[in-house]
Amino acid sequence: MSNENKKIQPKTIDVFCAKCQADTAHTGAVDLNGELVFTCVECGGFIKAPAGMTAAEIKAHFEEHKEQNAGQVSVQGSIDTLDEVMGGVPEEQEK
Amino acid sequence: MAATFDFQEDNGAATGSPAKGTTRTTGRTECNWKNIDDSTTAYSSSPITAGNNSYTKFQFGKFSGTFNQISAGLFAHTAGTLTNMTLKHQKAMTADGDNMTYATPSTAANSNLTVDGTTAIAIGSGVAVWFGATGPEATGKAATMTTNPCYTNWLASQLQTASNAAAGDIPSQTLTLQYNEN
Repeated sequence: MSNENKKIQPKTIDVFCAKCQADTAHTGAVDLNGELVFTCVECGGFIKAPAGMTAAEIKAHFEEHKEQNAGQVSVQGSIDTLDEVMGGVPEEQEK
Repeated sequence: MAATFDFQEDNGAATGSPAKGTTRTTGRTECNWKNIDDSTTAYSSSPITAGNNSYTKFQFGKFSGTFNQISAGLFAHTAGTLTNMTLKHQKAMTADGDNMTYATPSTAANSNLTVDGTTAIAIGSGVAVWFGATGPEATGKAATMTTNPCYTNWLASQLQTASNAAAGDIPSQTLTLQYNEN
């Protein structure tokens, strides 16, 4: 048998991402400080949990994180919308 | 006449009840997240090593001068890009108990900072800020305040970096506190 086609999928957990404004897959890792780092696979944003938190506390932290960050209107989002709206309008020609 | 506004910052060991910092500095014009708990050391002398976090910054606003009422407070990160790092700050005030409790600042990820302010947002969708007498640590915060002087709740923040954060200065960031006075 060949292992060439086997791909190891890292474990992920769905957590709300403030930047993506959606529940997205996050990988989990423990950093050098023993803190838990959950990284969004879509945008690279991350949530840290201090060392010593229990699994239940982390899940509660995720829930509060979603409650506190849902609905943010990013400045970049407004710029993108403006570009989209203005996309078909030619720039004024210099006289 | 108008209200006089001042950003201030607490540092050092928690003292008193309700807790506040041992040192209170007035006239803050920056919020340099760094690897030391003070308001004086140049950020370039105490950089955050990639993968670590800054000390939590406990800043707040003070209103004095002439005003009848301060109200409609909002706080947000409104300009600047952050790459491979997360900016966390105080959550919205919906009750007096939503204000943070001052704790001796450290570099551990502060789980009490639940708002992800990494992405610059419109101030209109910032977190609600309340006001009260005595200081940011005091109970009795409310959405409007007529007491003079008065203070915001804690506007605490922490920069948390990833191991792949680039060396050197981050771009300039803007934190905005918006309020009404009359």
